[in-house]
Amino acid sequence: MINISCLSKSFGRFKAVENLDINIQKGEIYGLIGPNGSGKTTTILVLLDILDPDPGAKITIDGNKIPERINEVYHKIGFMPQELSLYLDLTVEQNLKFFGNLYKIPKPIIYSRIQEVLELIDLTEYKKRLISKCSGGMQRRCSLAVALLHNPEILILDEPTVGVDPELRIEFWNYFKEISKEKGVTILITTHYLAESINCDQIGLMNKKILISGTPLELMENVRRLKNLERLPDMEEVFIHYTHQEKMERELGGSGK
Amino acid sequence: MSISLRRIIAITRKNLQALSHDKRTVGLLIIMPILMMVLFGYAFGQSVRHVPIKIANFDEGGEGIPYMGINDTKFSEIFIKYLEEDDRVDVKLLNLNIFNLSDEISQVYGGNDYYALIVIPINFTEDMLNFSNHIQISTYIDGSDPQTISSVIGAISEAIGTVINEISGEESHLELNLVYIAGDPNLRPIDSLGPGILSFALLLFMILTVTGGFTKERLTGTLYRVKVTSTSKSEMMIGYLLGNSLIALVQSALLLAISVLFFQINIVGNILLLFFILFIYAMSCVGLGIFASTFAKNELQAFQFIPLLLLPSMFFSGFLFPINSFPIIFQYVSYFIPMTYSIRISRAIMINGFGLDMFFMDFLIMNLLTLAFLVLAVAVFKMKK
Repeated sequence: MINISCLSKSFGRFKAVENLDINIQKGEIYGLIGPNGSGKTTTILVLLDILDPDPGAKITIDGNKIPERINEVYHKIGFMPQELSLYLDLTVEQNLKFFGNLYKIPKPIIYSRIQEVLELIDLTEYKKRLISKCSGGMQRRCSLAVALLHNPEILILDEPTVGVDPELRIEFWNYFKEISKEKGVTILITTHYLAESINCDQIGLMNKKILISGTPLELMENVRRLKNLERLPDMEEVFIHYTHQEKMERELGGSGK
Repeated sequence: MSISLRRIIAITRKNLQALSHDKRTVGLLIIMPILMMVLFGYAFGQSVRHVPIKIANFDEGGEGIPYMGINDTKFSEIFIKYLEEDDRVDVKLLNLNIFNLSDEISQVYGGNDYYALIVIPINFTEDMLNFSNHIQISTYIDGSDPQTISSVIGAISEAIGTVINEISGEESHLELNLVYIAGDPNLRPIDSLGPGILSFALLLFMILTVTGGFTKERLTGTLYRVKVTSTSKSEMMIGYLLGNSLIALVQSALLLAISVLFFQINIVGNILLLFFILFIYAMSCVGLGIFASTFAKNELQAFQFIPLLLLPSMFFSGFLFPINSFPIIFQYVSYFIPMTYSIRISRAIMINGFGLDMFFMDFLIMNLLTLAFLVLAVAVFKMKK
């Protein structure tokens, strides 16, 4: 569904993303996992044509070359950015209606659809509240609601669970799993909560490039074997193992030159 | 590229809804114009310098009558010499061989070239020597701008006074016959500043809301989220144009109501025509605001741009000082400022009661400038990081 190869992005001399390759199948939850500053958001912004990549990148979404045919796929995508990206001077409901109109959701169903997503994110009783008066968690929930509003085939969620309380976080993940299994929605999700990545079908550990990818279980099993552990390591141990390994390789490579 | 009316209306409505929740900005919208009226109207009263005037001197002199040892004196020349030394006016002497009174008078209107035409009669010197009681200097004057008139009249009256004093040491027995070509001798500074304040307040408000609005859209990321709905930048811009021009109309109505109620400003001409002109002018201000917002990385930078956009319009549009009083290079600058035309046109409507036919050229140029500003804004505006 989403194919990225040879993606690099630099800001001046700083390389934010280096030679990134990702393949995401339809109906899959793909977790892009990495610490802050590892290039996750940059990758998403390039994918959505909000940032221009360095020359040489090959990207397709649902068979459409990006950025040339991005307008053909925008309506299939629901996007929840890392930044707030809501109008502070509008209410929760007004924000939803505004984006619903931009997505051209048919007029007869727009209100029922707004009602549905409001219930899903548990904001129905706060729908008349200005975004500027909402708590951080409520703002994140409203932002997710905007991404879900037009029933997209692809969800691109940048750190959706930041600032959301644990109970609701579990509900979010259950919902993501449900729509991916039942409706075949493809989900690209970033998180720096390593423990959450266990919920994904595939994960890519990222630090400017993909260090390793696979199912969470595969990666944990790999690390258990390599380190001769008796129990399965948790995702943090997995991540530390691969970043450490990458660092060693780079240093060796560097001294060899 | 398809343009969806539904999206445009959604963007327009979004801007109006956001404004309705932003009490501080609404307050600014109401209080700012009142404050400007008061400040400019009452505090701004200094004399204007270098107002261009023309003189047609028909004085034939005193037929060999010597005065203070000089033969064939023309007292008119002393009068002109004093005017030439006065920096309130810049004098141009007309060639009498090609003089045509009605042509010259038509050039005086609107301060296009000259603000006043002084005609000195044939028997000026002779009447002066005879201490005649009815010496008249006719002055045709464009009275739309009270500040300019008071400079011109002040300069002429002083020059006459000095001439008479020099010749006879007596009190003036000379009448200044003022003929107003436009405007009204009873105009107060606020009458001519009113239309200027209207245009200036619109510019200020449009730039504040549009530059602030787009910068906020970039900072909070809403602009990119709008892009991801496949909304085009044209749809976004038209939405902003509509919303802000509607706000401009409300603000104009408010300003006009304040002018009439609190400052007793007369509006002679067609008020619907005035609204139409201001609607188009507001669009040029929106274009300018979008243009500025594309160069600002944050709100602070955006607000640093604002004086840069306001100052040229404030000084070179004829709002505070007549355009002719500037060095020539800044006179050219004024041709590229939409506010120059909106002020000229709204003065013509409000003070003189003129119709579209009287300022069609100004109207045309203002439309072209508005279009140019919008095209420029579309060209530089990006919905990308």
